[in-house]
Amino acid sequence: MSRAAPGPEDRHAQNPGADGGGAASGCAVAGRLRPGGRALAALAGLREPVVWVLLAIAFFTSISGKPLDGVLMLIVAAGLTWDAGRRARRGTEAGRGAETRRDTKARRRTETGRGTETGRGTETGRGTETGRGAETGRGAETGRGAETGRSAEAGRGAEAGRGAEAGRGAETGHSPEAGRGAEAGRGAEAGRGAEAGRGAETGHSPEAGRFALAGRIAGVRPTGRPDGRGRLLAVAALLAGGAAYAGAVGSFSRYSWPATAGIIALGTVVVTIGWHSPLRDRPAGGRLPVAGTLAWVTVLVAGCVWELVALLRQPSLTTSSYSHPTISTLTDPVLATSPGRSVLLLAWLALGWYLVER
Amino acid sequence: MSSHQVTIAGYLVVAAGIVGLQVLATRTRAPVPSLGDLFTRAMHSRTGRVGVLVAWAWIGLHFFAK
Repeated sequence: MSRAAPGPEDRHAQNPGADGGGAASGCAVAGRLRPGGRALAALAGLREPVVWVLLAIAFFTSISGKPLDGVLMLIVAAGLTWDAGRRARRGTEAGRGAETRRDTKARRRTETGRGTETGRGTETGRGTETGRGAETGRGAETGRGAETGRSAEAGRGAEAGRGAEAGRGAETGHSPEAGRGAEAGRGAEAGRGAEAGRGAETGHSPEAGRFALAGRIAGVRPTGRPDGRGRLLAVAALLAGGAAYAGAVGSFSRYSWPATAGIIALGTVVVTIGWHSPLRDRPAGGRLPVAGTLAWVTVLVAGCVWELVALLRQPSLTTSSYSHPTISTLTDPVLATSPGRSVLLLAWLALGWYLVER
Repeated sequence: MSSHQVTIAGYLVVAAGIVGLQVLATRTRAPVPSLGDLFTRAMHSRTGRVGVLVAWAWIGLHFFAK
C-alpha cells in the first residue's frame, strides 16, 4: 500500500532540519499541554528576536505614514508567533539543539550514501532531504523507482556517487563531516536517479521511467538538477519574467495602487516560499568568526543608526529634509522616473532571488 | 561642510565599510565571513529566513508601495 506524500506540516514534523530557530525556543513548553498551557505555548514565538524586530518595524512604519506596511509587518509577526507556538505544541523538536539536528542530518546522509544501506537511504530521501518543493515529488518518486528497480543497483549507484563526490565535502571548509555527509547523500541520490532511469529503460521500473522521461522533457537530470539546456532556459525565463515585472510595475507611478499590488503580490510569494523551506539545502557552515561577525554587525547597525538619526532630524517623520536626507530622500530623484523605478526594481528582484537561494 | 554633506558622507562611510569587509572576506584570509555566509547563517532557521525575506519585501514596500 502506498503511503501518501507528507504535507507541508508533516514534512516539517519529520524534518526539523534547519527550521528549528523558531521552535527551539518554544520547545521548553512542548509536549501535551492543557488549554492554559496552549495559550502560553502560542506565545512562545514572542521569544524570537525577529518577531520583536518586525513589531518595531510595524510600529515605526505606521507612525511614519505607511500604515499598510505596518499592517503587513504585524501580520507576519503574528504569523511567526503562531507558527512557533504551534510547533512547540506539537513538540516536534523537544530537547534538540540546532547543532544536534545538523549532526543527525549529516549522519543520516552519510548512511544514505552507503550502498549497503540503500533501502534505509531511500526512506530517508523520501522522508526528509528530497521532500522539498519541486524536488519533493521528483526525489521521492525517483527514490521509489530505485527501490522498485532493485536496491542493489541503487547501492552501486550510491557507491559510484560517493566515490565521485565524497572528497568534495572536505573542500567546502565547513564541517568536513557534514560536507562529506552532504556530498555522499547527493552521490546516493545521483546513483538512485541514474539507476532508476536505467531501470525504466530496461522495463524494471515503469514508475521510475515516467519520472526519468518527465525529467528529460523538463531538461532536468534524474538527480533533480537541470541540465545545461534546461538551466539556460530556466535562467532566460526568469530574466525575461523579471524584466517584464520590473517594466510593468515600474511604469506605474510611485505609491499607486497598481504598484502596491505588484510589490505585495511578489513579496507574499517570496515570503511564503521562504516560510515553507529553503529552496536549496545548504550546510550551516559551522561557527562564524566572532571578530569578523562583530565587524559586520557594527557596520550594519551604524548604517541603521545613521539613517534613523537623519529620519529623526527631519521637520517631521513624514516631511523630508535637505539637510538630513534619509536614503529614501536621496533616491527620490531616481524613483521619480519610470526607467529609474524599473532599474531599482530589477535590483530589488535580484536581491530577492539571491536571498531565496540562500 | 554642510549638514547635507556630513549626512551623505556618513552613508558613504557605511557603504565603504560594507565593501571593505566583503573584500576582506573574499580576497584575503582574514577571519571575516562574507555577507553571503552571514545571510546563510541567519537564514538557517525559519524565523531567520522569514525575517530576512520580510526585510527584503519591506524595502520594496517602502520605496514603491503606498
